Amino acid sequence: MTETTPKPLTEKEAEALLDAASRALALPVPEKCRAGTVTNIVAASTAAAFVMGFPLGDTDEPAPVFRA
Amino acid sequence: MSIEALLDGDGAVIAAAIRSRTVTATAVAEATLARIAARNPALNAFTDVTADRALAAARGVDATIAVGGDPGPLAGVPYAVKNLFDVTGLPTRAGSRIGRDNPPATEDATAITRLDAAGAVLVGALNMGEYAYDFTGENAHDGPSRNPHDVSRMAGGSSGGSGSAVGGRLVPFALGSDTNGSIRVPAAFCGTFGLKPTYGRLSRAGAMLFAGSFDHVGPLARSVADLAAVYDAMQGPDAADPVCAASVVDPLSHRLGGDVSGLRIAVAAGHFRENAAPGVLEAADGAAAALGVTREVAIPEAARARAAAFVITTIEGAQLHLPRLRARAMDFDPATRDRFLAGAMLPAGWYLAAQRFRAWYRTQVLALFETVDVILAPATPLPAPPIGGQTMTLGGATVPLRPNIGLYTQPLSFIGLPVVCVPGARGPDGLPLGVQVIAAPWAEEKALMVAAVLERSGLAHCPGLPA
Repeated sequence: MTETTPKPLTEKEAEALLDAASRALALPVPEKCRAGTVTNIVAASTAAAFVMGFPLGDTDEPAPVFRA
Repeated sequence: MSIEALLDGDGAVIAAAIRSRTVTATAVAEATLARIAARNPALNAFTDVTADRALAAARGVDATIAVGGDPGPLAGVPYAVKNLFDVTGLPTRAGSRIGRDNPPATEDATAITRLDAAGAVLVGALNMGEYAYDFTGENAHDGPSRNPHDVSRMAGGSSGGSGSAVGGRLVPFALGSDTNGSIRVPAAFCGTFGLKPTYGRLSRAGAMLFAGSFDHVGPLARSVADLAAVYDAMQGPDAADPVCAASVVDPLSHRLGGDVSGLRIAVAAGHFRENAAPGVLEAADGAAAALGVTREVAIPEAARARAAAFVITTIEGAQLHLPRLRARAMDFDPATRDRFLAGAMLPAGWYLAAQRFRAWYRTQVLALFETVDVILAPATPLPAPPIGGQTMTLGGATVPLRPNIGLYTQPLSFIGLPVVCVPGARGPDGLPLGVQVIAAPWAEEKALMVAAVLERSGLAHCPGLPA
């Protein structure tokens, strides 16, 4: 992975993402769920960093509607 | 043969007995309902039993036979469905507390309509992990579905009730859904056959989605013939499911005995041979030996495919449930709630990168299928863990159990490959293990034919239950 690809988020960074996205989506996160949600954002960021470390070309189109 | 012996066998034998008037469909339905009443308390597979509907349907089959009519290929065969399928008169709970507040469904899911038209008799709806975001079969609202080979163990998820009911001989077949492994994991843990067809092959209309990019429906059964018969009955285009791409019906039940000597078969290497518990690789190697297979192939970037599947799943699932997360977050199962909340918060760039990688990966795997017809791989990295288990050992490290059960299933459903999960092997502790028989898109026939060869060899079979 090069330095231009994302790194997994720290807990503090995940908390900042949670707070901003919570406002953007009008999705309040109950206090009881906050720590678990942060943990899962960190886990997702680890997976996303792994995915984004792969070099894709301009012709690699997304497949939101997949035809096998 | 007694009715009890019939119920221990597969659906094809039941249908033949009913068609030949050896037994009535009504008697089979009554015996099935009695068996569910007796055994379900230990397995917790069923959340709803549709007794009146089942008896009415069975009487209809008997009436058709009495006048010399054709009741259909699944004449009088009892079955049940994961409770995310719409069943007329039942609220579609999809494993959730929230769903049971829904008004009762006013029509059946397409899959049920087609199975009923083939003569099958619906006897109820089955337990599942909440909203299908699960590999364990546990459920905070309904309790865990339990493994018929050891009720202290997980049935697997999310189609846990489907695995438990079929493996436990409550019904000969059941429907499940598979997004990242939710048919194949419970099939492997509970010792049943399972078919996840090609993405877009079978209509999902009337089945609650989870992550639409990966959602499939399909059967769990106790024989390859039953998998094929159910698959045949469910085929066909359906305008109600925009993903359902099949334009023709291509029944294949009559072709299961075909010659597979010309098929190029290999064992998946790399990712699919790493991090396995004792016995897991031996199960796949046993299938390879029975087929005379020595070749190995590597599926490129399978680990990254799994990571991308994780990203897409959590974001699509969260988006689907956003209104419910806003209004009733605390009514979610604690095992899914924080994961759904987290998925809602993630950047679009992560999602699109995963979808773009998916297209790249699909191209690579389709190229691989130019050189091979069928690939064998283990279904799960371990046999059924104890209910309530939180961690597992993976490559010598202790890791969270829930997300890692899908280690070998996720890279395949990620691009919609058809897979038959075959039972028969057992781990060192005697619990069932499954093997995935994987084919190229739209080549279900090859996977089912190879599974049938393994079944005829005696290697693939539903293992017997403890006394």
